[in-house]
Amino acid sequence: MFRKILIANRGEVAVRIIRSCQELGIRTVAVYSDADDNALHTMLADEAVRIGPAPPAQSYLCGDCILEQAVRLGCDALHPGYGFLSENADFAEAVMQAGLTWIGPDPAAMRTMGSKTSARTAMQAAGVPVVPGYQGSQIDAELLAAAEQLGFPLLVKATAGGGGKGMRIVAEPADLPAALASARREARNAFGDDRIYLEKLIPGPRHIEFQVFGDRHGNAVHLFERECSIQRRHQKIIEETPSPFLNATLRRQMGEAALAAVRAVGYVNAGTLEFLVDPATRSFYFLEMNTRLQVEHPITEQVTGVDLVKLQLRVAAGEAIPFRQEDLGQRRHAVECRIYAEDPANDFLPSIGKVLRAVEPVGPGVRVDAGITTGDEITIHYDPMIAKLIALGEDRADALRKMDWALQHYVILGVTTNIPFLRAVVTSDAFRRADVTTNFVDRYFAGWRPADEPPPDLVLAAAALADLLDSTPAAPGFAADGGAGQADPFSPWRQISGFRTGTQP
Amino acid sequence: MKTEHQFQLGDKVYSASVQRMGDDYMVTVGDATISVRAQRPEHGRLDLELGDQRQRVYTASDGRRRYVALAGQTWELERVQSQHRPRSASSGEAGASALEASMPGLVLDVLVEAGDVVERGQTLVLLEAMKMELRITAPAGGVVAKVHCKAGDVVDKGQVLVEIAGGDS
Repeated sequence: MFRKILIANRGEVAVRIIRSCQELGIRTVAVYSDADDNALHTMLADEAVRIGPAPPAQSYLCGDCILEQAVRLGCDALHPGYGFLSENADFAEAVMQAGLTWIGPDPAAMRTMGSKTSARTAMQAAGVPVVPGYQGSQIDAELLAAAEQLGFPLLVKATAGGGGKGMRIVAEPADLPAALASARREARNAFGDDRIYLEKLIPGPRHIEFQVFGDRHGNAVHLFERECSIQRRHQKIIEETPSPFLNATLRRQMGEAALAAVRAVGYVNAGTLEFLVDPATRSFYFLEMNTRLQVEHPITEQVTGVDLVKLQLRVAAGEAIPFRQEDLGQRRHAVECRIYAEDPANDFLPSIGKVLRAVEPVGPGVRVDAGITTGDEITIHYDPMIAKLIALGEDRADALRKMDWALQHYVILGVTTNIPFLRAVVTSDAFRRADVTTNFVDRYFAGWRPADEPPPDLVLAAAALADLLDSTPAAPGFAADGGAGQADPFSPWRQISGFRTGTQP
Repeated sequence: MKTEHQFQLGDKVYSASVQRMGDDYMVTVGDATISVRAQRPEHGRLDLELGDQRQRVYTASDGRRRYVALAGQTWELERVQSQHRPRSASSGEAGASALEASMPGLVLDVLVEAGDVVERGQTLVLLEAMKMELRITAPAGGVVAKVHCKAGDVVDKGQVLVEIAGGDS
């Protein structure tokens, strides 16, 4: 097993990885930008090293800066987390060339699955169903002819695409030329690659993905599905497992397709096969593969009992997956809500500021994967997702009740979050009925705003009492901020130096 | 001694007064007066007792703002100083409309200069925050009177970016 791992990430995923490393007795190195000088992940790791200024291109996306530190500090492995450099095959190669272990798949598999068209080709060859489409030519006339054959409506997508960029919905043949031009322009600007391809539009699909794992001993397993249909602006906000839509037959078929994909590319470590499922026909189609740990991995951990980060470390260290497919099952029901720093009353635009107080819900079946705590600053530079709330219930209804409880008891003061919106969704009839497709939010929550209600008298009373008590000096013996050390200028508590209690300096 | 407190939420102002009576506080909100026992076991936490009802409240404060988390809901109130008049939407020079940043962010690009004639819906400024791009567009046609930002600036929510004069606004 590894001795010391550098975590090339920030926020909740860095915290998540540090925790698993600590359990295994592996030392950790956190990296940070100037904007994250006091961030939670830097406090929890054994060592924390600055890699550059706030903009991601000069810090968390600067592979050379990060690798230099990993080598300098004597790390023997690097975990990329998700986002940032996690799907960058060139970086993975550089890490390996520097003599470190890359905790992730082989660069060759990352490249095959990283391009949407080469992934489609590989999956078709492996017998995995893909969305009907055309990727034969870039010439307009041929694309038009292919489009007529596919039928409308269809999607124009960027080969190098992601996040909805370079994507256009085309309703009829006359609109295709303009859509091709604008999709190419957007793709060129976003990815430096203007190649596009066509895909049939599946109306009102469900987004269901399978967690997979491969090792270097020829073993491959899947850890069942995650239903990720609740999305807003192409971003998932609520995920659950088991999917309320799958029956045993469809689950088995999709699991087998996922395993065929893993074997076809010799995939090693954690990955996720994303599928679109047509609710009308119950047909499923390969959408893309994410060659990394996924944001929503905790729900899989909750129902299978497998710690996916520890498994990533073991497999990267050369160990075999310690269980077989038939050992795995789904027990109970897990739901995850993503907490975003955004303002539901202001079109869900990002909100920033200092977290003046964070109180996490604690209770049976409630898990919090947070990247922030009291005193942390949320800046404009990074993703607005600040925490994930995961509830594990006896069944779906129980998990939703627990989630509502947990959302109510997650106190975050100082920064506006989407918690009220998540509560509205989790307690809605449509969500309870599991009537979820990727257009759920547009269909049931278009233009949603928090209720514009006057504050209850008790809120005003509490505000007035807080103002009064905050302005009153604390009674003697009462430990206010700073405590007893404040009176003594020579107290060791007043010095921020190398002084430590209980550990070797 | 009785203290008076005023808080604003949206465009409404609410008043509360507090008077200490031994271990209890008499709090008046509107026409209602309640007797509350309040403990502050740690900074930012209030344990309230109203007869048989108990309530744990988390509070925080940040300049003029007072935050209260109570019974699963979070409230962001603004303290109103005694002579302070309620905040109203600020307007720039007469006849000019001021375009504000609708979110905090980084100015990616400013697409107009003072003196430019702009049409309704035209993009004036590109803002980015947390991987999200936002276009600030002209709400009406007119002439750019003043540009208050440049590419690379970090702006706060509500900060004026561009002023547009005249036209059909």
